[in-house]
Amino acid sequence: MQPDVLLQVTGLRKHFPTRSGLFHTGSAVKAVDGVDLTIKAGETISLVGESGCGKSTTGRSILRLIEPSEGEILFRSRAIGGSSETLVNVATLSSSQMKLLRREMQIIFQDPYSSLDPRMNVADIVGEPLRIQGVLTRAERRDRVIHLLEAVGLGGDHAKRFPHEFSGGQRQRIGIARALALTPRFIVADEPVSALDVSIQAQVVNLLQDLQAEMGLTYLFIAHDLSVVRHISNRVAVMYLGRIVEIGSSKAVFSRPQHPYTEALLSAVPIPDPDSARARIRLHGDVPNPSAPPPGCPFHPRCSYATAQCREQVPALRDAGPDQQASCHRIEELTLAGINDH
Amino acid sequence: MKDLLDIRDLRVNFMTEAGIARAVDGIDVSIAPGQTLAIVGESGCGKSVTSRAIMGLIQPPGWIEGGEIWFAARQGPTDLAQLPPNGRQINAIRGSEITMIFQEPMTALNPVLKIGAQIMEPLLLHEKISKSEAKERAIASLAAVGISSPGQRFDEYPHNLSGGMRQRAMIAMALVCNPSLLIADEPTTALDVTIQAQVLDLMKDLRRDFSGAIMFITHDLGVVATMADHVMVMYRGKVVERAAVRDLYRHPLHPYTQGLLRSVPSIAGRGAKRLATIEGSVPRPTERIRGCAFAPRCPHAMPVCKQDTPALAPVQQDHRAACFLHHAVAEEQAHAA
Repeated sequence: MQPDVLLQVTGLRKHFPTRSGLFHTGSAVKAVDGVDLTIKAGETISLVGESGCGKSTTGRSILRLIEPSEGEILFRSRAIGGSSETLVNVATLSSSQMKLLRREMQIIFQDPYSSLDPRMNVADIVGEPLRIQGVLTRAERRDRVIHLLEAVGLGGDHAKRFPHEFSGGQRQRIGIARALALTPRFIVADEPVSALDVSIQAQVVNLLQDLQAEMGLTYLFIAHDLSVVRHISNRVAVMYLGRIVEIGSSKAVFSRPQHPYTEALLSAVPIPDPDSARARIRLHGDVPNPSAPPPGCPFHPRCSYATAQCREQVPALRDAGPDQQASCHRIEELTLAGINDH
Repeated sequence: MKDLLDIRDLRVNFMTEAGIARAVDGIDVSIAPGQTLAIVGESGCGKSVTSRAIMGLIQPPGWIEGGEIWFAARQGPTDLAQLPPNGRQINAIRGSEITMIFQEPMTALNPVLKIGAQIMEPLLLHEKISKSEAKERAIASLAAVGISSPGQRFDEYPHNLSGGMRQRAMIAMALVCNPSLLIADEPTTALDVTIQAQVLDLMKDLRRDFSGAIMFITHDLGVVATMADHVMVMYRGKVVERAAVRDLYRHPLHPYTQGLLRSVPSIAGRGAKRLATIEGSVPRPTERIRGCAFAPRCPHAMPVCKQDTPALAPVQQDHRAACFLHHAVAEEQAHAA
């Protein structure tokens, strides 16, 4: 593992068994089907894709909020093995080790309404991770909570109030303060601004970026809003049916996509400009059922560039430019349209 | 009456634990036949309540406090605000002359009724036609919204269809009676971006054949730019700006509209490292505010903004704003005319 890498995921799989009948166990839904991902310290990498592509399952499997079926998750930990950095495989840690690891890896959820306990006041919500880990005295905890609330743009006077007294944007700030309580290094942000109105969304995006700069955080940002992703990410990984189909610097992926699915995804985003005349790639049909993915390239039934080879052989993720990889048989032949200044 | 819909000073209130919420606080809306008007705004601005008032769907704890909703019905101009909520007159208009598409097709479709039966229902209710004629038209309607093998889909249940297909089925149901006004309330918000693109393309295609007007309610400024002729921006129950779509995006006049447009990140990666924001948050709907409701968050607020409420006044031809910054211009124009 390179010294600048914080987290390295190899061959991550999560299969959910399905029951097709009373006595028959059916096939498995391959929600995540072989994901490799390298995350550098201090960067923001985004996972994008449509519902059911496996982006949230990937994020939660990395934190072991969902037990992965297979795969290795190497993390440079400081909490486990004293103060020096130790390389650990998150997938095989014991529950007591996982508890220590929670100090370094946290999550911010999408819905600021369902992710906060309505019967706890803000001080208890934000201080709960500190209490569970038992790292501070009660008085120290109180000071830390006030400091955290101020860091996310709320006042210390909010500490004794309850979640229902706050707006959606303020609740999301509370959720962020809770995630930061143990000074983690790595945060999975699972659609953190999707439920917020656009003007509030901008405030929270700015806050996440400010906190990253101050605290040296590394983000795995899961989102479906490609404009926000373009704004916040250093690198982007596009997922389709449980696999990464394209990954690269966000500039490269947005301006020169190398996978037809990325091209279609980008062309589908409505641009807030009535004069933006774009040729839209119309994708036909829906995402196939992940319990019965099509043979060959999983995207071929919807791909307008598909050939006989695509219907038979699964393309591997391979180099498609400097700092860019895609899994398409026709990378060399195709010139795909990205988002340009217009 | 030359407009299809002409709403005057509509007020809709809701009784809440915290007091009376003025969800719609005196708005004027007009839609010409064949026009597509988008109403944009953030949660709680009153855009959906406006559409529900038109449909006669305001129920306790809400009520229409005042105003008129004139609609050019087949029977002649009708003030929908005066009709009893479940009376014969509103029932004749709703579902036939004015129809609606909702955000969540799964909650708007009846899960235990076949798709075909649900599309035939408004036809059998509003038009004197036989069951076989209704079936024919329902199947034609399914085909028109791009559902493949419509004859087979006619006999399926909503759960057999994907999210995008369900939304198409709901559009088919809304259009089957040839309404003169179609209200689409966040019709693509619950859909993935590639499916959203399919549904928006479909709606644009249908607009060529469909002679009625569309009222498109959304929070997505990208969707507005692709779909609308005219845009109305709402904030805290009031209309703050109304213009042709190009004018609104090129020369937004109201500081709230300017802030909204600036806070959307650019997908082309242009723009500053920090997003522009509108500081603060929308005041609670029960809070009474003196003056302009946006003044507490407005970077240009003047003393007058905290005293008086600005009216929606024309600033340029066909471009109205409710903002004192532009009222001098508006007054000059009124004098010249």
